[in-house]
Amino acid sequence: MKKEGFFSRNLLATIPSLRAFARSLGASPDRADDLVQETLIKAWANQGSFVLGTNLKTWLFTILRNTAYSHYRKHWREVEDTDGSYAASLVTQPDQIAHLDMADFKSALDTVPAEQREALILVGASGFSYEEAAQICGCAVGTIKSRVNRARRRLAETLGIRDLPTEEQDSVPVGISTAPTR
Amino acid sequence: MNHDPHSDPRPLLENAEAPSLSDEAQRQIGRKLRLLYEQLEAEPIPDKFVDLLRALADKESKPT
Repeated sequence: MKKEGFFSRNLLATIPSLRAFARSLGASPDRADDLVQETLIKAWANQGSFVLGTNLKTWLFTILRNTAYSHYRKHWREVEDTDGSYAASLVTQPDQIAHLDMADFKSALDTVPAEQREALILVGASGFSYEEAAQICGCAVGTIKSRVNRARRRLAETLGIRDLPTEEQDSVPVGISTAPTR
Repeated sequence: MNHDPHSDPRPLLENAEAPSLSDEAQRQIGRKLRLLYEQLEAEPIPDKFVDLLRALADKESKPT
């Protein structure tokens, strides 16, 4: 079995997701591409440590995230797009209302603290399970769940999405198994 | 520890035990988030990445 063929093909296939991840976290297009490039080079150099049969996408996202954090120290805030080129790049949406809607959503997303935003994107958009997201972020599954939950709340609040306490949910206890034990 | 979130003086955002949003609110947010992400994902892969991967593969296959 030719591992290099498999490897290149899969690296290539993951590039759009890696770019989207970096961009949706707030990196400018150039910075996002720098991060992706570095991720690819590191992945290539360390392909011996990738175990066939495990999830390559999870592995690559972990590398990208670690790269971003080590570069920009601590937080995504510093990777963020401050010149508004991201917002400008969104002008591809033909429907004006939908476009305005997306711009609002993007602004709201920017107000979500970095760690919560990252968790929400991994689980809600990149298609990772809570377990995989926890692996990528190097934290507990319960922490990811809590961050996702908070990110959604913040977005709902900022966007004015009414959160009607629905009858069917009202009395159901929240299924968080990792309640703080203080 | 047993506190009622409605009587909790802390804002919900700061409350780790805040209940999940309603299904409908979650759906709305999820839809927008995916749309945003899909727009970004739909961008074509820049040639420089294809070239980079090819260069890495070439370098490796060349005997030194």
